[in-house]
Amino acid sequence: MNLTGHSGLTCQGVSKTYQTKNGPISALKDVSFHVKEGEFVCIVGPSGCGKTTLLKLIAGLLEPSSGHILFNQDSQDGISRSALVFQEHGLFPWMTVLGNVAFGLEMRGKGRKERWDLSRPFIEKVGLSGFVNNYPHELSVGMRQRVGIARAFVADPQILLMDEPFGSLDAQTKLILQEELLKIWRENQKCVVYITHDIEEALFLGDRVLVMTARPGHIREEIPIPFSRPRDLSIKERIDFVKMKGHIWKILEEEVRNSCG
Amino acid sequence: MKENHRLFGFMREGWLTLLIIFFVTITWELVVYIGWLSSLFFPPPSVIVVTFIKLIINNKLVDNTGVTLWRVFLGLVLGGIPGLILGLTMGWSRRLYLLINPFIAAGHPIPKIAILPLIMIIFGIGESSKIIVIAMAAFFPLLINTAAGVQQISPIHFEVAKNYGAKLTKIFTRVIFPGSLPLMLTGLRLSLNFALLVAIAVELVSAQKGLGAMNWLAWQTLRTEELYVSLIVTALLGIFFNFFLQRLAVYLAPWKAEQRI
Repeated sequence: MNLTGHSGLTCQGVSKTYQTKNGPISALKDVSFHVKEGEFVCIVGPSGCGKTTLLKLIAGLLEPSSGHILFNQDSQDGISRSALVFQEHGLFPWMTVLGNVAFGLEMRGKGRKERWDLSRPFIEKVGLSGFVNNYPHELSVGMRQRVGIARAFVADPQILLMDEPFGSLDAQTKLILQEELLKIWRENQKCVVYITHDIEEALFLGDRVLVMTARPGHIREEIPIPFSRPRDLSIKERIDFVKMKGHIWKILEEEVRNSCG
Repeated sequence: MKENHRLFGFMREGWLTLLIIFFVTITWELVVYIGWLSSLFFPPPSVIVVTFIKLIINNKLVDNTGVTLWRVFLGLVLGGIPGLILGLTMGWSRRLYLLINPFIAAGHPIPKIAILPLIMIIFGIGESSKIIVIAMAAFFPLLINTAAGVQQISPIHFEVAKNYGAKLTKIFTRVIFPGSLPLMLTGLRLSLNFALLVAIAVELVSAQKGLGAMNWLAWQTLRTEELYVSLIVTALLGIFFNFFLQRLAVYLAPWKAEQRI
């Protein structure tokens, strides 16, 4: 694999406890894992297991109660270490496609011309050249997610954090966007931490799948995905793909049953 | 396509309105002419139009309208700007909101014209008392709507901004201000309406000049046709304000205006 830069991420014994009226609630317990340079890691787990909390911790939007989150590279001046892609509603409704995509650059103080030059290739890559000056409400849900992805790549972070970005899309659009995401990712070789509840999606996209337990969430199993890249949809019919899917599903089923008492 | 539809719809309604106005005017004229209605209470439209032209020629109408507009403007600036600023900070800071909101909740429902006597005792019967009362009327709608506008901004937008490294000033100019702008403009429209309402009311009670004063003088001297002229001009002002602010909202907040027309 062609490794550019020295990005990467290490989580060491990360725990997060929320204080609520009914006492403390432990969302994450002793989560440790490492993401190599340019690696695409998918995290699956039962709903409410703290996946989103984990992403927000890595993004720096929350502080861990204990443990450390280490980036392999010191933050360069102003460059964000991470860029989050939200499930939906992550775009600013009051900004055009260009305004949204260039937001990270604007926050770094780049001028109008430079923002446009750096953003345009990514807007083209996600097929939205004709919508540069449209507002999000004029776009379909799938197009909005493309904008969100372009925004994250343009910001050129060390690590991309994706929180079920395609969760609200229909099946066809989802497949198309997954392939597009892989294509852009191949060209840019970012670290990706990708959260999903869709096992097939995780196996199709990732280099590795981390399976989380029910709350308090921790990593129960780490599964390397052996399929070579570039991948296409046919791998979903391979016997080892189906077997891995069955294996992960069994773990998740167990966890869901446990959490229901 | 959609634009055309709307335009035609508007034109159809516009023609209908004009037709109704035309019909009512003709009937009115006829009914007074026949003698079914007293021309003392209902001077025929032809007389009102002649009076209208006379009042324009002798400068009385322009003069009084100008005085009213100036009072509305001063009141809007002196009341609206503090309302806007306080609304933004109250929407931003939950603590400040809790601290100040009881006073707002108590002050808002008081009909501002009822405070005029008290204000006149304190500030005298001059121009400043009138402006203060108009400013009070303009203060509350802008404050309340602006605060609500900031509060309804989705937390996701703050998270995105933070994730991309937005500083406090950028959070204000790129998230808080545009995010609350649509409701802010609604507040501005309400403030303008209230300012006009209270300006007329203040002039009815205690002024030598202005549309309200003209109206009151016309009643005292039983010049009914002048009364009608001042009423019509006041109504036209109100209609113009609303129309103007709707256009302004479409121009300044195209992402929301789309859904509002």
